[in-house]
Amino acid sequence: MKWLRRVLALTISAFLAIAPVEADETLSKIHQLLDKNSVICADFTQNKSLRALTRPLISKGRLIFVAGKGVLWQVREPFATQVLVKNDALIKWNDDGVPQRLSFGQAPIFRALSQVFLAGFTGDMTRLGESFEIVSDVVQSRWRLTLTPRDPAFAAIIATVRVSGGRFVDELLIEEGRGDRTLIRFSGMNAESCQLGNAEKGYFAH
Amino acid sequence: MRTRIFAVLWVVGICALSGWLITNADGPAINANLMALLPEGERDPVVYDAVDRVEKRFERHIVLLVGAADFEAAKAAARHVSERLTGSGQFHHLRIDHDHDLVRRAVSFYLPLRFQILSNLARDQLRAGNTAAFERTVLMRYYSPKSALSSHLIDKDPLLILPRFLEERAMETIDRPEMEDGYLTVRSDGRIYIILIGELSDTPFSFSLQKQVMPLLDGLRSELPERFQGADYLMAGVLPHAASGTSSALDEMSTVGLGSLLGIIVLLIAIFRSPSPFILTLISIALGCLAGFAACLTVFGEVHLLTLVFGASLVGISVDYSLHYFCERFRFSEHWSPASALRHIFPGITLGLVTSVIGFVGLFFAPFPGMQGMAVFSSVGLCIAYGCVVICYPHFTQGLARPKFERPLEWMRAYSALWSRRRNWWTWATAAALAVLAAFGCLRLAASDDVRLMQTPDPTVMAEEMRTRALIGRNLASQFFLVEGRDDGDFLAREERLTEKLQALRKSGQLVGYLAISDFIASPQRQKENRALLTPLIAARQNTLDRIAGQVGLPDSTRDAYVAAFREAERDSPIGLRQWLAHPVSEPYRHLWLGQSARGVIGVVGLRGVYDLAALQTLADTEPLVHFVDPAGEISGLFGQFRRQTIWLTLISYGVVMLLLVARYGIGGGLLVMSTPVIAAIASLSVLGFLGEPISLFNVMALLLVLGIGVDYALFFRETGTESPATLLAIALSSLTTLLAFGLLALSATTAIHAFGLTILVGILVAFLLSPMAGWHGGSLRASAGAAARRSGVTSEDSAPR
Repeated sequence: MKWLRRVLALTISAFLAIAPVEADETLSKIHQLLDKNSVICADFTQNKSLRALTRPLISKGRLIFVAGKGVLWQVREPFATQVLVKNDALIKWNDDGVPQRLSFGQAPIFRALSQVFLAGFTGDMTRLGESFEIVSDVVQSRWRLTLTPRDPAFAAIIATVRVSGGRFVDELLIEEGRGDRTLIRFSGMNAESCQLGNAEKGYFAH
Repeated sequence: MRTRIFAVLWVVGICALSGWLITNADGPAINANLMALLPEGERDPVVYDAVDRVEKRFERHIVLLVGAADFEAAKAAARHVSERLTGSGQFHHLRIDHDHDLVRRAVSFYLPLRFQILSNLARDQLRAGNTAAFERTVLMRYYSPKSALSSHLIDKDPLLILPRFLEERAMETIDRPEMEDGYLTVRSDGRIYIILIGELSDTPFSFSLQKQVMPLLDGLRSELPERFQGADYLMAGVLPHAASGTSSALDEMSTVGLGSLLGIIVLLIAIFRSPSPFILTLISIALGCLAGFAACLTVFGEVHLLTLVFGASLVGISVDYSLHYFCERFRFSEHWSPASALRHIFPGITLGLVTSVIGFVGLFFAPFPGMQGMAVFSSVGLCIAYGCVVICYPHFTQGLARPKFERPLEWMRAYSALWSRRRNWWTWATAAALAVLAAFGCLRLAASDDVRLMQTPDPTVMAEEMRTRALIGRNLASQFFLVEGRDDGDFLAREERLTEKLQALRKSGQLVGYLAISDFIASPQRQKENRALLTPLIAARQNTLDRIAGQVGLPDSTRDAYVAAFREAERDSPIGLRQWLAHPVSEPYRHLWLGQSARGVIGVVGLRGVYDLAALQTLADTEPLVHFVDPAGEISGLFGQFRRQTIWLTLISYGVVMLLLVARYGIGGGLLVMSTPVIAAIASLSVLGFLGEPISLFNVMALLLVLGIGVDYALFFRETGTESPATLLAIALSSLTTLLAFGLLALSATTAIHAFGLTILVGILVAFLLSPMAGWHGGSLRASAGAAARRSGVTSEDSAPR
């Protein structure tokens, strides 16, 4: 299988070298396909399967994207908790409701991943290229991106990220090395029925 | 002729001796740091030494942000900046590339310690016996959408102790900068900045360092945009402030120096219409300055910039001796002899010199290196200039012609006539009104010793500094704690006791945060305590580990291996501070460790966002071997302390001079001579009061000078006052030259120098205007030359017996 990956990688890089314009075109096609809204909500199911555990960790919840503010992940099962992913930091809430800010400083991997999410919602792929090698693929109204980290330190933690969708992002798969993977599926994603309650507004204010 | 040779020998001898002293010193070291004027505080030597080390490190620290729209351009520009600056040899180090893999290094160091480290939150949960909360936090991490979980980690640390610990540390230390491609970066407004952190090889106040580094930095500023696609840099640190302070001080010094020099030349030529007076005057000023500088350098090893400004202007007083000598020429139309001129002014200028030197000797005994420097510089300078007049002048002015220009003399005659008029109720009413006005002005005076107000920062340098700080994020406050310990473990334990109290202050909002070594490497006691807190979670029946394992599906084999590892680690001794210091993981925090002290070891606890200084001071007072340091506050305190001390010194100097005058002139005469500088001092104080300018050390120092010069004016009048117009002309000229020198200082942008100049400006002006008063003598003005004087009335009520 190793030879196959190498050939594939070679072909892809050769293809990118010859036709970078074409690659940009697919990206802009994806950009056109995506619905661009200032607020998007969805339900999500996260399935984390780790080699070290006998069964996957499954959590469910709701996600709200607000342009310019970030993405709020509200986990409902099995433990209620939330995380706000902003441009430059993660904000977590403790049990006692005190927000804790973790900047991406020491963990740029979070920034790269949050770029993936934000790109998925805004369709803005330009910043994505800074952290990842991008292979994109569009079939009619469906698209798929395969992202490989450029930074070797980053690549040691995350092997690839695959994102796919149509008008909205449907699925996100993070493959870590050594057999750990996280799959996040989004459902009921829409811009219309998105109502931000006072609590949500409060979280976004951080 | 032989005496002429003696005069030449005097000049050459002074030059040679000064030159020898200056060349034998370790280079003419000029110090521009205002703080260097201050004495060493009366601190405990261990603390003093530690603070000194912290401050030295702080002032040499420099941060550069090299930015461009594009990362590649920024990298190239940053490498270029780094090469150029490192090449200058003025940097101890300049870091551009950083640890590529900080997280992995941290994991490699802390993973073996996972049974003896705990995040503060986890420790609080366990200490409170709240294992349920601990368990819930761990499970939340397993299921959270944004937690760094890997199989590798879970195998070794299923209770997720390490990620909680590391995340808490990260949350408290690093803010905006990110590690990208081995560079520390921040992004803002579509630009990416690469952070370069450097340490200068010498103090940023060193002239030679500034001369080498600043042109390089200025060159880079203009060169970067062209060479690297619009790249630029931002800088923060003491260096740009020091450099801008130096250049503005130098600018001012040269403006003031040149201004007063030109003024003196113009004046001398206009009045005497002959080149020899001003050539001789310049020689005596130059010799005075040279000798003063050499003496200062020999005694102190360096000369402070402010000493130079103050001292050089002060040596300008020496011009007075020359002026008195040359004004003598006006007294005689034909039979001029240098010897008689000298004989006539000799008592006046000698007394003038003695009173001035008395003032400065007082300064020399102030525990204040800056003032001592000024005292030495000025005393030596004045003595040499005096010597020039006494020794050299008579031999070079044999054929000095009487100036043809009579008008100044007439003006002076007219002015002194004003003073010899009969004093009626109108005079007294005016005097009383002025006194009330002055008293009112003095009542409005307020003192301010805030050091931050004394050094007015350059607004562009300040703006750049603020922008840099905003980009980098969290900054440490200028205040900090010093913690001592008998040994490493004792130090860490004391620091932990302190940080627990700091955490309480943080919860109540008196403090935003702190940075302490013991948060990264716990004391041996705490490591044991942590282990004891974890033991029931792992070893007890129905324990937390089992419940978590069941919930998340941890294989039994992993659980058993973990329990076995925990048991095995029991035999490990706690890890020490030195092991942490030796590991790269400690690199960003090593500056907190100061190492060995005379009593053991010592380290720093950094602070962020200090809202309650008093609470921190109280903490230090209650914890043994913990010291709270507030440098800016301390220096302001010192400034205040020395302002008060200098006021006393000034009063004592006034008193000593007063005694001397009384001894010579009797009580009435002494008081009369003394009233000139005293009224002048009161007048300048009241003007400061009306202008709303606060009184600081520098105003008080200026008052001392007003005393010295004011007494001189009165003395000259008293001693040589028979032909008062010539004396008054000499005084007028000398006050004009002094005003040129110091009045220009009042325009300075540096608050300290401005305060100094303004006080002198007013004081000298008033002293000059009042000086004829000292001539009042036995009820009449001693002046007999002018017709106006002869017409003058005799009053007895203000007579002063001779």
